[in-house]
Amino acid sequence: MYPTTAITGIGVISSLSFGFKGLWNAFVENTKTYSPLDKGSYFNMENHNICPLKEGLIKLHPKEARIMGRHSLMLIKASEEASFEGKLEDYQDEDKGYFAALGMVDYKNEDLLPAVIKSLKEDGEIDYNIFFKKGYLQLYPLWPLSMLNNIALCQSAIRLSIRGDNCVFSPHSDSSLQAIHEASRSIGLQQCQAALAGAVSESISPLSLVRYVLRNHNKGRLTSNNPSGGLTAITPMAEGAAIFALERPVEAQKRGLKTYALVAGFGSSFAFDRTCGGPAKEAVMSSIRQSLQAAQVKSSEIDIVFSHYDIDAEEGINEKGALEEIFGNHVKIVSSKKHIGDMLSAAGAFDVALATAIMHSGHEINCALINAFSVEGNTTSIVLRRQV
Amino acid sequence: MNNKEKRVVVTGYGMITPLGKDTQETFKNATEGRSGIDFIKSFNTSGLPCRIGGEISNDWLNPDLAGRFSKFASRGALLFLKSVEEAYLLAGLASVHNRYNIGISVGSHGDNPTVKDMAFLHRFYDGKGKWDNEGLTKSGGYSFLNFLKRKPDMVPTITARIFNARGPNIVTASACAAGAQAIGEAYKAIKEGKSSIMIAGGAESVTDFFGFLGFISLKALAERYNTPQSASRPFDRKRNGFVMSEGAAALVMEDLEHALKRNATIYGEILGYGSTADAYRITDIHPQGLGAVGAMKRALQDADVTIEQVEYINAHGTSTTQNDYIETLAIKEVFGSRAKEIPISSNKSMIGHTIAAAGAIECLLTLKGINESIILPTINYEYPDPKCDLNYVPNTAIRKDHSIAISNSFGFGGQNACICIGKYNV
Repeated sequence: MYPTTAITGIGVISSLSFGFKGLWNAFVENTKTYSPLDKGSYFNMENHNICPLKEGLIKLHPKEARIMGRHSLMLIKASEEASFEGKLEDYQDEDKGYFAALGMVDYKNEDLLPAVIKSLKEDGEIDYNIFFKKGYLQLYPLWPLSMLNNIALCQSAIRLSIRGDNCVFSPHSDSSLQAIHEASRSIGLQQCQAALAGAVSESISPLSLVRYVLRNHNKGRLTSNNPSGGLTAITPMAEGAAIFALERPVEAQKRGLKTYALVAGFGSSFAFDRTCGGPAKEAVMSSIRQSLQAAQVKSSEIDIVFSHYDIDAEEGINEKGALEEIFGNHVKIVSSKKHIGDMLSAAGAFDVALATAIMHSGHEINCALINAFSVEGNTTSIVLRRQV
Repeated sequence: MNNKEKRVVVTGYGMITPLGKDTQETFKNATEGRSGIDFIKSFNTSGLPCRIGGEISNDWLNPDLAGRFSKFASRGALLFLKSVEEAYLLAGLASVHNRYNIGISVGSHGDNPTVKDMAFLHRFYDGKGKWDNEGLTKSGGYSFLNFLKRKPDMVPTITARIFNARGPNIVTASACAAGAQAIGEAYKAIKEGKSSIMIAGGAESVTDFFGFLGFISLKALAERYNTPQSASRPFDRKRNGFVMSEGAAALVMEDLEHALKRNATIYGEILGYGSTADAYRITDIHPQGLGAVGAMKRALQDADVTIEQVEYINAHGTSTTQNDYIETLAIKEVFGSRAKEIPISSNKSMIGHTIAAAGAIECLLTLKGINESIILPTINYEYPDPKCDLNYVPNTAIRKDHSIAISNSFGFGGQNACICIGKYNV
């Protein structure tokens, strides 16, 4: 039997909203979050949009600025919101778990480049002898912290005094649902009493953007409408975080906490389809069926599906086929990436937040399925149920 | 959910380390107390305060294994594939019909950028915070493939594709605890019934210039040594930092019933797993080792094993002043008066620190030790440290039947993991 957990707190940061409140309204109002890249300066890729956080929402403390990346701050802010609402401070530090998917962590080139610049020859080529002997001394001593994926979670654990079961997953798009499931499992196994779980995207930076663009051009993705007219080359890259406070439903009830939704089932699989450059249909079907079975829910009971892909696009053909085979043509399907862009590792967690939001927006939605896949062939699915 | 429902056994294993191209060779050399550490040969270390490490000969790798994925495969991925190849054959996984029942769980961090990468990037940077991304993208010089090699998830992905493993696919990225956490996550997946077989382990290869620079900047590497082989000296009074190394290990972990049904040979059992966070400081371990204490206690509790039953501790034992002292404190806290009776050793004295691979390599060496009735030594133990006053199995392996052991892994930043390993009893 699946270790069902209650979502008692939600923390969200995205270009749609800062916080969970207002998320659904912003989503249904189709708030425009796309920003064209500023041509000729910082970013200058032609015809490319991004969905960045509004400047000023997350502020760096000067002392922490050099060792904290933007992703660390997004994780901390979302975690604080979820932890506060779920009253996790009532639990002993050792009884609180923490499971998060963290997007790719990029080197701060500003930290590394001085060493390169110091070692350049007149012709612009690097003099390796200078670099190895003294150029490297230009590096900031705590620079290595930026290369470790787990540091953001550790920084946040320190802030929130979380000392229990934990794990960092990285950086598949499916890893956020994996993290939520691991938290449920840990609570079910009584390895922790309550947990924070979710994901943070990678920060939008020159390197992450180039990686994103190259990755998608490589796949030949040429989809997604641009709300400002015309066509974008690819789905805009977005940044943000979504974190949930989880605990056993009975405990949440005892503590008088609001239960937003129940995490009721999970499934995962792996198979790559070379023809479409993503997960194979049978892997998608496998993870969906596992999650339904774990949740003891029939396919007809699912009211809404948050798909990983835009299923009307060529890249979504396998997911569309799997959904049709399992649900027929009667289920509502939402693709949030059309509105918010692609949060990569945080995409699945963000869709869990949206699914929870729709359950609390007056709609008759009792059961939702969320899919999150990786371009490499991983598939994960989670079933959320409204608490009766 | 009852965590005692399923037992998780080991039906295959493989490793590649600076001590050997496979498990047998690594274990044999470790039993003889040999060191895999030497001067770094793969890049120019002149000027660096630490010029030693554990490197693996390219001759031991099998680039053909990666096949069409070789362009995307980091060195860490190649190391992992080599260890999985050994484990896969030993476990006879080719005959498992339902490939959706085989998952992958790996601790990995991906490649570091190279100096060449950095020099190339410089061409598109004006030195004042402005980047010419259009030029960078169009150039294709800092290639897409380099980005892929940096992605930790490429290791399990490539492994799954090559070995046709269609079950859960997990990558943990928790620094030095990543390998142990990957095994812990695989253990949980089998217990829960998500998969009957998990290929779990860790892989790392950051014995490169930027890898060294990082840890030199943090003052974490050994800088004072007479010979490369004597630099890694866990628990010794003259220890002064760890020695960077590379390697990989993979365990085939399996639901006992599934293993019995297919007549697989069983090499041992994963009895329990525990993880904690220090939540203290990013650059320091908790001074009382609270996180380490918690991880050990949780693993024993999960395994339903008492402190009296533990007969060996495979220490994290990095050879840093701070870790070895605090790990000693933590072991005393958990085991009380028994702490002085239990043999404790650090494989890092011979192999160095393989970061994300360490937990997996050490778990496997612990398992081999149980099966061979050998407790591996802590080499370079010459000058006892009054603050580290336990039995560290100095310099020479001992022959001793033992059935239950624990393996510690503590990650930079404050993540801790402990695995409880046992002899398989019907």
